[in-house]
Amino acid sequence: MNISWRSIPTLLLLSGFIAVLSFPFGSTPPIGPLLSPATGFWRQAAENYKREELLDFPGLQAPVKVSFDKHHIPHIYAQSEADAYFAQGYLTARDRLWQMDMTARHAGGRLAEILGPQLVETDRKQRRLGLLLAAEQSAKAWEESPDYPLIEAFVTGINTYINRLKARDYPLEYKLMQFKPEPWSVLHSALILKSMEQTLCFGNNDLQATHALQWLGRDSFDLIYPEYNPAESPVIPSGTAFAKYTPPPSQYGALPALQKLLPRESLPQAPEFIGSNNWALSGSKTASGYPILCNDPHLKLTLPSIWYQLQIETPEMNVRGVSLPGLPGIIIGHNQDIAWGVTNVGQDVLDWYSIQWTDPQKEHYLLDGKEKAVKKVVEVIRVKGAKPIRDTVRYTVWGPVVYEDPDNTYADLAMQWTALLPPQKEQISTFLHIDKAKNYEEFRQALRSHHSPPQNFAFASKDGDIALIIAGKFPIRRPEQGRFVQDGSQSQNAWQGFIPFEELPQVLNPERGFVSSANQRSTDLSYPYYYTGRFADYRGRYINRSLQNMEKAGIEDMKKLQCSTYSLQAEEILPALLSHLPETDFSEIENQMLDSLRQWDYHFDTHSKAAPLFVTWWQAFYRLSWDEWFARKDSLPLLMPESWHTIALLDSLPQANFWDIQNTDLREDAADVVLAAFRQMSEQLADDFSKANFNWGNFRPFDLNHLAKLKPFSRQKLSVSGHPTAPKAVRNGFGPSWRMIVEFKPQPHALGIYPGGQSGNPGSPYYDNLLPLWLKDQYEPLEK
Amino acid sequence: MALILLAALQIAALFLLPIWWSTAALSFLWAVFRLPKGRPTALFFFLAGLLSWGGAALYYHLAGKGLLTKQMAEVFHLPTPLLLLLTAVLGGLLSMLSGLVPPAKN
Repeated sequence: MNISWRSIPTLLLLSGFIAVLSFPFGSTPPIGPLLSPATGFWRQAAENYKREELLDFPGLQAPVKVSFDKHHIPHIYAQSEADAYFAQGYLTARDRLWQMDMTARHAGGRLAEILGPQLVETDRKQRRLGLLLAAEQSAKAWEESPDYPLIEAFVTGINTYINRLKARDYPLEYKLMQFKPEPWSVLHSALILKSMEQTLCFGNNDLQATHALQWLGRDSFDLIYPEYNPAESPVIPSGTAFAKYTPPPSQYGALPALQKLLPRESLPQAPEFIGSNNWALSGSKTASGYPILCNDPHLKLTLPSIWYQLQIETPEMNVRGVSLPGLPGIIIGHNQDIAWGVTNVGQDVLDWYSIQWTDPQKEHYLLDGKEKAVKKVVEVIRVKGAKPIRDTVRYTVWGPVVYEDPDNTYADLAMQWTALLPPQKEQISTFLHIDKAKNYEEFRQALRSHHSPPQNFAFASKDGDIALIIAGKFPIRRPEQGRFVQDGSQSQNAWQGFIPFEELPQVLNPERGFVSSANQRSTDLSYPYYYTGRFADYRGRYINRSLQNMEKAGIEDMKKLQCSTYSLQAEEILPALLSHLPETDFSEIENQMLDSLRQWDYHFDTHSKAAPLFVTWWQAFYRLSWDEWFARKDSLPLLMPESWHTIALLDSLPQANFWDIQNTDLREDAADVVLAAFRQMSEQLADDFSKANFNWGNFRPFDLNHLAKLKPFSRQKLSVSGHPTAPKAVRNGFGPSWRMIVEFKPQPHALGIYPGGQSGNPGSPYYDNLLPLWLKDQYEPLEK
Repeated sequence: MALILLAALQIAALFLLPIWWSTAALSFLWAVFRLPKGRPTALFFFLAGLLSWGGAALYYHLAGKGLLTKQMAEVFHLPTPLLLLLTAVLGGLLSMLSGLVPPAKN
């Protein structure tokens, strides 16, 4: 070799070149490793997909055969349950590792350690909810379960994949976000469950309702916010016999004076009425004479998809459906004997308690006139590129103090939430047992261990049974308890225990021949236990009306109803608006708009021209009707009146004071508001209305976003029919995350579809291959 | 011929070694061993890197039917062909700079 000093400048240049390309600049990953075909994104551009595989790894009792169908959906054939869940873990990790990792990290408040200081506040809020601690307790409690070896096998499967994964083959997002997978544990799976609980049962209106009550006073509050819609068609049919029970006396004590110091911002929560449906028809209503079960859970939709579809076959069970990446078993699906599906229960299972500190250091608080010490938990939030941050979370008898106001040292709010209750070891078993249940009794038995998030479980079996069980841990409340922020200095404001499983609302083979749920109220007012919550109003009533009228139903009828864009809200509201619209001189374009609205069939189809007119008119009307509310809402969390009640008030109290629009000198009544809203709508849409492409599909954009909101990996500006008040409850970014129809003949035949695909890799043909089918309301068989 | 051989060696290293700059090592070694006969030109090394990185990227691009290339091009705000070109040029520069480290004979 003859390398002299003359090499030094070029060597330095080369070193500099490699160094510059090896280092990240801010959030931009190092360009060299990212673009190099040896290590970069190119390696994810061409993955190999086999149709048959034999998994044979240490940890398996016997080799597991896996075959993949044309959509890359795995069908697992294992000799034991443990091997089956091992394989599920391995395959899910191979397709969805980054998604699982991010979901668990978000739930546990561990994003800043991979993404940097800008995520510290997100993590801090998560830690204050106590989910990480609760997940740790769950993982520990599960150790005592006889099913623990099954979740261990699942975790081992995931880690088998992670351990074999070379850095250059990390899923794409790891390369872009510059972190690496960590070993999976039971805690991670517990966090996935906590994440689902946060999505589905964190919703609460306590703070908003309390502010509204303070502002309006009791009489006006009761007028504006009735708890029950007389037209309601509840989940459990009216007339169903409930257990006898005498509720405890009303809420203990008055609202504490400190509530004038309530927080002026509320924590972000999942949107109301996400919009799931499920139902089951008995053989008396189907063409085949056997039951049919349908389920379409609606959630915030993302890519990679929320669900991972698979079949698991062992000598004891043969189950198909969808799983949640990170949890073992099938969550929604069917086996050879039964089918089941879930929708979310809107009941409030989270209460806020006002804490009265007795010292500025917040070491003690008042409880029944005595000082009680808080339990402090120091949360250490690790931060990429910075020192860890320590946040002390104070735990009271109610739960963690989530709201802390630095300016008001003596008024904070603690949270009591069923998701944080001491976990029971059986919690892990619910879906593992459902997956292999053979009849109604076994299914019902499995649901005894389901605590959170509460779900409406619809059921059908080849024996001919249909059922609906509202399962979960529901606190026994005093009337109105949990509707408002409570006085945390009185232990008598505690929950009164939990409703026994036998007394939860449930129905088996009702006379009407069907069961259904669509996030509406669980029961009519004859149910003896008080509950409050956030309930959907229209879909349930429409679905029940449709099913009531259905005879000799088949799969096509079910598809039609699941994909129905008919809005009962439009059916009720539009005639009311039109009838209250005063006769006046309308312009030509306004008359055309009115004609379009009068001829509308209330379907939110993509080609509908009337749908955008109705939505804009209704929104303007709602905003003008409750203009005083909107004016306050910007600075104060405030409960908003429900739409069905707004229309009821339009008919019953058209001259009431609240119709008056604040920023005008006139004194408006309801009809004036209807007209003013119509004018706003016509002004807003006049230019677009006459255009050929003016329709619902173009008016309401629909984006299916990547989990990290990376635009190139999202699918945006899609044209999708539906509306939150229709069975096809679509709004931007939200919609049917999975549609399933199971028909027993008596052997089960099932169809399903979800928006996205099996793979989490944006470079895979299976990343979004099911999306075009979903957009066209098409289904695919679950059988291979 | 030598150009094809170096590019082929670089491609093999890209597929086999988990080091993003393996191309640089190969060009450097090539230059060192060729020193007695006279070091190849900068263009030679640049073209070898261009071919190896461009070729490997093109292979992945075609095997994946361009699905990911299109999306990653959006990440970089580039048209798809330019992302392929950028990758190839990066490989070319890397190869050229390392090939030029051993000084040419006087």
